[in-house]
Amino acid sequence: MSKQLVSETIEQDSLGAFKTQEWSRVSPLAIVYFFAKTTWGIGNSLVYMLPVLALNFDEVKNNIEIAFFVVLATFLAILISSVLNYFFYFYKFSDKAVEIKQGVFKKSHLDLPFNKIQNVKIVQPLYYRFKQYAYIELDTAGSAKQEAKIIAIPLLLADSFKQLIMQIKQGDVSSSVAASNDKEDNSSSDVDKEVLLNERSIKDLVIHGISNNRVWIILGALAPFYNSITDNLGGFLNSFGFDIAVYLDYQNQSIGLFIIHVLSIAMLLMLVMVSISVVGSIFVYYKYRLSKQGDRYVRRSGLLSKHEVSMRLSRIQIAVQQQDWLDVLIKRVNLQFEQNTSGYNSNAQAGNINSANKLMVPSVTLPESAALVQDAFEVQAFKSIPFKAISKRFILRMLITIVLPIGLVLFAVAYVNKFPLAAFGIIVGFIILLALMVYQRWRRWGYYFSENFVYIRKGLLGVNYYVFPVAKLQQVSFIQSIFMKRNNLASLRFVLASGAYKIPFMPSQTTKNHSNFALTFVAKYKPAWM
Amino acid sequence: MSQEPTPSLPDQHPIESSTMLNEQVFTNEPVNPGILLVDSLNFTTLSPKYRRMNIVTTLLFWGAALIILGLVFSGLFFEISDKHNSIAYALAGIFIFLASWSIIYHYFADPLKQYVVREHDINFQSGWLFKSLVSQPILRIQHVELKRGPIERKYNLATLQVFSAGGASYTFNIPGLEHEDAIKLRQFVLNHKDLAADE
Repeated sequence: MSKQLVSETIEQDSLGAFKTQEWSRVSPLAIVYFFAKTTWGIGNSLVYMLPVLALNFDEVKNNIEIAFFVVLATFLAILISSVLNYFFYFYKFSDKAVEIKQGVFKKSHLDLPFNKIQNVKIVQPLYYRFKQYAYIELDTAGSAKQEAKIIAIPLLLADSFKQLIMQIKQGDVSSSVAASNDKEDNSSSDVDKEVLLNERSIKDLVIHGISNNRVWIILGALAPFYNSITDNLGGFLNSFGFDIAVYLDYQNQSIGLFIIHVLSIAMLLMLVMVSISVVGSIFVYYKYRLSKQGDRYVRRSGLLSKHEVSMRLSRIQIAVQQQDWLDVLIKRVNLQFEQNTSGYNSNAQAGNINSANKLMVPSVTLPESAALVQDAFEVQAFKSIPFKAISKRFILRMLITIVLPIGLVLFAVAYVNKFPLAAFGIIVGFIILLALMVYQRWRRWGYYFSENFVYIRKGLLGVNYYVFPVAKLQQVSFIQSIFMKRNNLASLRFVLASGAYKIPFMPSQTTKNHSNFALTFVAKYKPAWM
Repeated sequence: MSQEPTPSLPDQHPIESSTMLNEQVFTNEPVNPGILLVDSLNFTTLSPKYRRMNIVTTLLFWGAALIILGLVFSGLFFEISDKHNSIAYALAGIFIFLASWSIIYHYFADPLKQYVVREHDINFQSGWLFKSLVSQPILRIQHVELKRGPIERKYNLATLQVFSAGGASYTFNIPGLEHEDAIKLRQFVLNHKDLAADE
């Protein structure tokens, strides 16, 4: 059945050819695919077992027959499951979606509409090359790990399927290009002109290095040389007549002197760390320029390797203004524009400071940050937003669920071990400190809903501000414990493509109104999120 | 499939104030894909079989764990000392505690799980001590998946998963649907015009 269908599809090679109501089986080559995948997976997890095997090597050697049968049985089991997986794997191209049915015990039926497919990747592993077969990997904008795969179909079919998707996508693009051309007719002169929005001087980068720990940039680069550095460090210090072992020999010096020595070494380390951090900051952000080119933000920076990150304005999901306690003192902030973090291109770049998903403006002043946020979203500066406080019950909850258990455990430990009275004093002091931190945490929490934007403020010693358009909403949740219900309180969680943002302990009615507002807004105006 | 909007709004979030943007007439009212919503003014609870299935699964799982524990400490494989015995009893105690807690939880929490489909979104409410109501606009759905494990198939149940760009941790999930209802719900989502509207 499937063979005939496949050949027809290839011959016709038209949009209509794909629209079938028949379920098709992939080529039996899929068994090889399943086998290779499972074996690879098992092999990967066995790598961690190697030390155990090595330790028991003699025992394995003595029972070589058993070991052989275990390996054989494993391969047989993988083979059987691969064959079963193949028999239970079906796909079909319906009017507007790819459908995949799979699973022996746990069955799943996946529907992926054509217009949601962002990327079609045709992969031809080595074992598919003898015959003209390939598998297709389908990416959507949102789901990096749950992508669909059609394993083992003829290369020609894969190609014509890719053509079909491209055709659909091009249809989209050409219509949107036409639309934007209309708009740009009036202002076509400044489309290509680059407007400088922000620049960072060396002074700014030194400030950034001091107030933000950028040590790891350098540490990461030095990782391969760790051993030789530590080996040589002692010798290096000795050559100056400095012997750490003598310096920290607590048996032969008074406690006071010892503490001074430890403190001075700690200070020295801090100094070294901060200088490394400054160097790291200059490395990454040297000649930082943020400019606007048409509908894009372009960020260029870097001392040795220059990086250029460009982000379409429409893709920005949220603006985040971050301020650590040190930033609060020196009145600087890090501003970040974030786009889709769950997309297909994000995994390789997670945690990378040059990641294309986050556009960072390091250590800007508050007015500069306000100007940038306004440029992106046309909203007011954070300082002029009348943030509303969350309920004081938040403090009570934190005291009961976090501070109380910690206190009880500490007291129990001190009591059982018969610690001196002074220890109890220190514990009481520590608990008071925790309680003060809870209070400060509550004080930092704030929210404000303007017509089309949501503002969130939170932090502890530092303070972070978030602003995002309601239009970017992906999902919204209303969360309420039974204690919150009794007091007419609830939490609200907005999920965007850049992550989830939760506001706790708001009045129940506010929470309902705003989740309704957001849902209605998205359903009514159908705003694009990309 | 008939999708008639029901005439009046139930007194329940998220339905209360769906006309906040009062420019033109815009509705987002519960819809009735086929026979899905028995009482369309309210949330629909999951299949009553769902709780039974969860309790049976719990019993099977922990029962098997106890049998394996019994076999390991039966004295067939190695000599059992007093120390081994006390470990076995402690483990059995922990297993029984976890099983009981899980059964109590399913007994009370499963009947509270319910969903409602409106014209533009799907809503799922769950939680016993912590209630959560997740609302997924259909506009933002990327793809749909229907999942059925072996025990679910035995009970003719299915789980509907709806993926958005919000990432894997926020996948919208309705478990414990009758298989036929799950298929209808999936078809409702796939036929929805909003699905073609967004990128």
